[in-house]
Amino acid sequence: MKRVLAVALLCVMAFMLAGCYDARDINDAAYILLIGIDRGMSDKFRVTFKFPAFEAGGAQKGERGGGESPGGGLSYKTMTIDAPSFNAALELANTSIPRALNFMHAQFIVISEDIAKAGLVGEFLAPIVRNSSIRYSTRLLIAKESAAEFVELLEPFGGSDITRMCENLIKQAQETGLFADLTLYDLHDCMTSPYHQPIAVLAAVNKGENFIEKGPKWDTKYNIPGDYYAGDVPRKKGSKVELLGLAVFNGDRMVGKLTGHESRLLAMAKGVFEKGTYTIPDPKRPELNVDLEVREARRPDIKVWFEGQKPFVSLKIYLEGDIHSIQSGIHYETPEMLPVIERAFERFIKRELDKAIEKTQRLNCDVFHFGHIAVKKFATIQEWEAYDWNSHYKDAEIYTEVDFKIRRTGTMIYSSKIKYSEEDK
Amino acid sequence: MVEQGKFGNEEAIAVLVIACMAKEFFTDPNIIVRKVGTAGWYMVLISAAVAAVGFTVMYFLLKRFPGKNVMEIYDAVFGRCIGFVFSFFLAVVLLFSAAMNLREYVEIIKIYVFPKTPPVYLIGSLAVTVVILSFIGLENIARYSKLAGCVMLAGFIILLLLASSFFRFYRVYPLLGYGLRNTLVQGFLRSSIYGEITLVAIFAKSLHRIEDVRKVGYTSLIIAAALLFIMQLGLTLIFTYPFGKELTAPLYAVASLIHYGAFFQRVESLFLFIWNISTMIAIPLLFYMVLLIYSHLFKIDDLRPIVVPFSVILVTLSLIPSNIVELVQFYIKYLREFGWVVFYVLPSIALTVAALSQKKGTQT
Repeated sequence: MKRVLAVALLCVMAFMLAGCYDARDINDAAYILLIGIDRGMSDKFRVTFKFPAFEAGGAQKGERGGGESPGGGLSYKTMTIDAPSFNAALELANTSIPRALNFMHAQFIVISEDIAKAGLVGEFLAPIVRNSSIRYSTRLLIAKESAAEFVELLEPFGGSDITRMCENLIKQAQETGLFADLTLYDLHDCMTSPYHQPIAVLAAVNKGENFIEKGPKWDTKYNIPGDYYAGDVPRKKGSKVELLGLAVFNGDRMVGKLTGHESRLLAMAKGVFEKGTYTIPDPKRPELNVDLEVREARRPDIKVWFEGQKPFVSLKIYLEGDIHSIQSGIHYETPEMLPVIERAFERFIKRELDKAIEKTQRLNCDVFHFGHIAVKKFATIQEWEAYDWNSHYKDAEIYTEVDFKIRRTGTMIYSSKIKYSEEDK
Repeated sequence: MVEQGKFGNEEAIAVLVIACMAKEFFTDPNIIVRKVGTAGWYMVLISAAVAAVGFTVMYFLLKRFPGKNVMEIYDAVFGRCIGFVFSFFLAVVLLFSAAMNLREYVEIIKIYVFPKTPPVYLIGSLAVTVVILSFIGLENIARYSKLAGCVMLAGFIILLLLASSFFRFYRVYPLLGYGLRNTLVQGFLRSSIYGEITLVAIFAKSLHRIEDVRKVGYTSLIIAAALLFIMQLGLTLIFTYPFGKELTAPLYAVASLIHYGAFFQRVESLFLFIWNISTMIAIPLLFYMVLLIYSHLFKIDDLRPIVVPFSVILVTLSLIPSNIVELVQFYIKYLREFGWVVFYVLPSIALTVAALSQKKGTQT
């Protein structure tokens, strides 16, 4: 009897282990890698999905044709649907794709600026954050124009596949500081947060419109590096898409943008700046530049206090860096001259930081996270919510201070003067 | 007389801690945030302090009647009739807890992992496990708990360590949450989080000495409180309180956040093992306790004939809530907020009556 029971139990277990109801065969699923969301024409939203092509013998052919795109031996397809919601688009997609759409490997959710400015982000994200197959770690981008176009043109670059391309592209946030690594979790957490307002990464297709090929040559004017929005970098060729700068939200409505340069300042103030290269005018010869690789020396010191209802903020950021180049050849590598560059850089960052803070105050969006410190002055949630930090941010008086130290001078510790013959002087 | 088998203190501690923790992996952290906001991490310590007082009462009761379990003590103190009512009430609450925990597990599993699988199939699978474990007996459940407990503890700590990159300390502010008074009241009401610790009074005979009850009870309580404190603090540091209020299963959401490049992500499948194993221990333990109480009430010597009928009752009760909102906001809410009456107040009444009437047991 025991043996019969044991065999019967084993049979029951065999059925249970098969996971028959929720079994997901890899051949029956279409793994969505990118999701694009625009305002629709035939319905409220236009949803674009990008997924690997399903070709006989695997997706390794790399052949082009129709809506396919090449990349590292893999080919991809896109599909765009107008629907009243994300879930409706999902169902409609399944009427033409003979595979179940699966979001386990989704890399980017791209929302058009148009939707973000119309305050429809919350409305569209509501079903996405409830969908257990879409992970909170999925990155969220705001596309300058069409999200569908961005999704279509985001293709593997340099032999990778789209997944690797997306991962590596996002890694550049740490390398440059010109945008941030922000996920669905970040946006959703911030949208409901009484501590600060949300930001999202700006993305765009770069059509090369700012790349001027004919005309007068650049003179000695100074341009702050990275002071562009996504899509505006003067460049030609390379990847068709770029991530640069941040979108600023008030709740779920996009109300402004920060350039790549301002995004770096934001990162510095939040204590998440890893490193970045700065080009500033040489303090002694402003027509020439000095290149510095800048890092965070220690976390910023932020103090918040109140006088009546008015908030006051003191922000001190600590940076350090190495000299990468001195175009003028001036011998700054002495204990007397190094502070000249240090003070020049401090003045530069302070001026730019003040401008960036003022910009966010005009938008009344605390993206600098001063609210994280302000909250410590409140004992209970009722008091904190009654004060409503997000509404008072615009009234805050903010004092900034920058401390910068040069640590190394690169492979050269002395700058020799370039020698000219008498007639060339 | 039902023979439960003997096991050591470590096994007993493991089974009790797992029984306490299992339910916290589901919707409880969400409810805690909704009740006390940012103060959940120390609210669980307030609950632990209340539970410690409750357990102390239970311990004194057991010490007064050495060699007896709580059902026998109720009979000795109140007489057969009132003792029966007290024990029966305890059995009903435990059975209801097991059923609601079962349903909660199934609902969460259905939301996150098996969306297409019918709930009855999931409930049935777990009910079969409960039946098998009940046949195997408490000693085996406890011994397995010790083995699984180490793995689960390691998994739990790894999970929190991996998620530590999301910790932001500003999220614990405002420190008093919705107010200190509210936190104290909620901490008191929700002391039944640790109610399972008092189950040691039901299987007290499985331990070797009365001192073991004290050791097992307090050690389990301290470990469970420490783990709950760490878990609740971790969740508070990861999700701002408005976000925390929204999440159905915050700990699962934490696991799904973990992302260290292309090669280290999607670790929630590992977390599923912790979820499943802890549930597979907690529900059978509660169910087995019900069987023990029932067999005592009706003087049944062999548990086996009542295992299957009770599993049918368990499944039936678990199907009562019509949806997850009703389950969480009615059944689980009242079980957690009023469970302390059964776990701590009934033994307190028994101890008071025993002291007033000078009733005492004798060592057999």
